[in-house]
Amino acid sequence: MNAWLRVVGLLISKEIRLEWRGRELIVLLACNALFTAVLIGVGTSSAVLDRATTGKIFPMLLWVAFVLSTLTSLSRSYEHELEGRAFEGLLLSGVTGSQMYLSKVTIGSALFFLNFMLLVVVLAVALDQELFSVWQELAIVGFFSSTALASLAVIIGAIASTSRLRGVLAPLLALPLLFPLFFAGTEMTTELVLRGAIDVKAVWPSLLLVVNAVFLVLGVNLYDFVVRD
Amino acid sequence: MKEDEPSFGVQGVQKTLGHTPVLRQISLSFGPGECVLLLGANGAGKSTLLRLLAGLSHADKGRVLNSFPGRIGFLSHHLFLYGRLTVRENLELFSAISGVVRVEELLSHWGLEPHAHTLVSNLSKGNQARAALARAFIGEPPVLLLDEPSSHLDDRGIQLLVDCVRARVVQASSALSVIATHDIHRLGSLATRVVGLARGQVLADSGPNAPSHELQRVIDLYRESNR
Repeated sequence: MNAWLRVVGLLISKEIRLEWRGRELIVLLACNALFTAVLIGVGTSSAVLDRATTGKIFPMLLWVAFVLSTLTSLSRSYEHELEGRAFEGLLLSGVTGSQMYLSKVTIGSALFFLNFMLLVVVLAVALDQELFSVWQELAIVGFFSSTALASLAVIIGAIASTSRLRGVLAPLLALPLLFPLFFAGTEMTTELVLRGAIDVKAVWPSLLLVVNAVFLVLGVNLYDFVVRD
Repeated sequence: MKEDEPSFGVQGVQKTLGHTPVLRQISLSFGPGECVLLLGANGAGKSTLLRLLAGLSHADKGRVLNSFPGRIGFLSHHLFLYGRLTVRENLELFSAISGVVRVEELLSHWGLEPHAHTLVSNLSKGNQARAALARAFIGEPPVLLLDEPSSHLDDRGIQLLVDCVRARVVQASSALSVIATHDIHRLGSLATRVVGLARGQVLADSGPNAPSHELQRVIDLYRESNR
């Protein structure tokens, strides 16, 4: 098990190095987040909507912006591997699909989480919302949503990678599967913004955890099949 | 696995790419210590056979026998390296995964020391081929599969390759090498067995440890089929 995890660690450090060298995904996510937030901020300016109203639509706007900004990056997680078919070098070295998958989910989760928190801050400023008292709860929702999204993004990115239309195919494949995550995230954010706490007995926290578990189990078991010819 | 079954090879394998049958009912078994020259015209199925043997592709029918998963060195038309990592970073990554640390030795042996800190994508084709060869030789794999290894190498690079493969044959009696090539002139001397492929089938097989006249017979058959 230690050797297995050591390889996952090596792959994570490789993913970080590749992302840091190119900074493509992080820049793409940040730009998408900022553009979306600015457009939403302009469209819902105080001249049109009052603070109470923007508070009610803030969760929905946050989640639309989060899902849209991440959808555009879905096919990116696999592009480093396709160049020179480096992933086949890993398979030849005895690396399993599960190890590759977990390393990519780890780095994807971290980037999506940063994107989520950036959106929270920028949208809160743009819509004049006071969220400081619930930022920890929001971060927890963002963390579990990011892991679910990354679990899905990594496998969808690999499935779509052989298509010339992968930029379109990946979001199309992912969108129906994202609805439970979208609803759970929006509902929990609404509870936080309007009532200051999440109802842990409600269905939404459980749904978020179930979505995480399902995507992760499917991804770990299917990734090897997907990446081999 | 039964004792009489080969530990590395294919049995009745068929493979179709798109609508084109590439391998048709091929059966070949390879034994330890062999250095097999795989000859065939373009499209004969050499690369597809090597990918199947390496475990990177699945057969449509038949069986691929591989007792060495995760311990195969494979040089392909693809580099199997990360273009945005340096030569050293790539070799360090693949060495660490394989549990061996001999990066300096690899860099030195393949003449890559001056390019150790160059991104693989920025290397010349020849140096990319050397880096890919260095990766293939990591951990002294018991099975080495080389697909057109001399296509981008200069004379010095080819000599290094020939020396390495010859050393495997001499020093490691159990090491198996399978080389798909058209370059009989420079790599032919390595062969202990020659297999000719044509249109996805075995045209001729000299058999293991064949005498030189038998090796030459298969080479001649391959040349005739190419005319």
